[in-house]
Amino acid sequence: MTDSFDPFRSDKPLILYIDFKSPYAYIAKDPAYAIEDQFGIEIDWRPLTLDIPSYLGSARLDAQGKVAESNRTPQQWSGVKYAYRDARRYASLHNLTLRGTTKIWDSSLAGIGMEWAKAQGRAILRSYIDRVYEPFWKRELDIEDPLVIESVLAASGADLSGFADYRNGDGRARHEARQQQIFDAGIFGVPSFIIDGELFFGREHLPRVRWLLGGKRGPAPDIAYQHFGAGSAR
Amino acid sequence: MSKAPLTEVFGDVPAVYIDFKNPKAYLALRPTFALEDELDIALDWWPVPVTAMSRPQPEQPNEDRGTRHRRIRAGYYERDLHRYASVYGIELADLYRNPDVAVASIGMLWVKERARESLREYVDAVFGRYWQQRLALDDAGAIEALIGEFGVDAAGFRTYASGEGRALLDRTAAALREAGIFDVPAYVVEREIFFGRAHLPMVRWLLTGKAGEPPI
Repeated sequence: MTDSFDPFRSDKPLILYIDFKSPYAYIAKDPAYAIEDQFGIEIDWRPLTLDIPSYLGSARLDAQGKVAESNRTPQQWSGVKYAYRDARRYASLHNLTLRGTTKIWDSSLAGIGMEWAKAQGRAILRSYIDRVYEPFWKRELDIEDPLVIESVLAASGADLSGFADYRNGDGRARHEARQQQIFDAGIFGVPSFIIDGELFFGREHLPRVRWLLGGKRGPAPDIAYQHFGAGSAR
Repeated sequence: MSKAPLTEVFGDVPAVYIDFKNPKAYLALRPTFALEDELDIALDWWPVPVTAMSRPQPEQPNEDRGTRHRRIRAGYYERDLHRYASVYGIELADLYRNPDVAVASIGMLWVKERARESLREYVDAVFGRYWQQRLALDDAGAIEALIGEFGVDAAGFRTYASGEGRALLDRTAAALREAGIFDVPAYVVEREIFFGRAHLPMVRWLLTGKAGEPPI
């Protein structure tokens, strides 16, 4: 099942790991689409299901947004709060809604659905990614509900025959195995871009990714959260 | 120190906060200077000692997933700093040194108060020499001599460093930490905090009246 899978290699020029529960991966989605469109390439989109409690502690908020349970340190809380504020301010500039969350979601099913959509073509994959991300971050989509994921796949134009077995069987097994392979290979967060076997974690590396895709013309760029207008790809 | 409102901690002038022992702050130097030059502005530069970067632990048998995750992540950040240091032709020495940066920081306050026009040279020289392992940040004599190199009167610096300057550094650092500055480089524009040089396009966009497409 996982024989041919290499976390760092693909027949596409660029691999992008995303997780639907990551606001940073959400913000990177449209710039990644722009890369596909402007460079005329297809990205190998892959799910990476973050195990957040293992490295950032866990927390649950009550209905009023107060901390009901937490094993996070003050430093972890500072980092998490800043990260959410930061993601939100960039998102709001691009009309993306990032609502607060009261728990750490299990996004593995949405990742399995993503693999199912991916197998049916690029248009269906893009539609699925869009149809999951936007309502999920508006808190209008329960990504842990199999029927919800099935309805998103259907709305994206995916053939659903066999999906119920897949998500419980081969799809789940493949997802778990690949997550371990990805982690073992040293890919630990999202969005992560892989180009020529080199890992770039975070959308601040998009200037470098674009520079590499464009043939390394000019000096190597630094990191930046930068907007690239249409036509500036090369 | 009691919690000060942000308006008292952060003035109206856009500011940048640095720590000489932090490699991320060092890598931010050139692009931050470039932004000042491009917009013909002078950011309000402040030293703020922050927690030193933690040296990644060697791989342990039977380490749990969280420990492993943090080790892998730390290793990645180390490689990433070296990868981008080459953009600026910088060789980074040991990233995890944790010297007392107070004297070098107070030197920065001294130059800022007495010879603002020499502040860039001072900051540049301290970063450059420290990261080439040619300057000990806690060496008051070396910092005093360095101040003098730029034609700034260093008479009284040592007294300042152990008295008024030290008090100013401690006071501002405490207030800044209270206001949410826990990493460097930190940019504060319109009382919003941005950690990291990757935000420079955002800083630029804010300082130029939000013209054009916002950064992402």
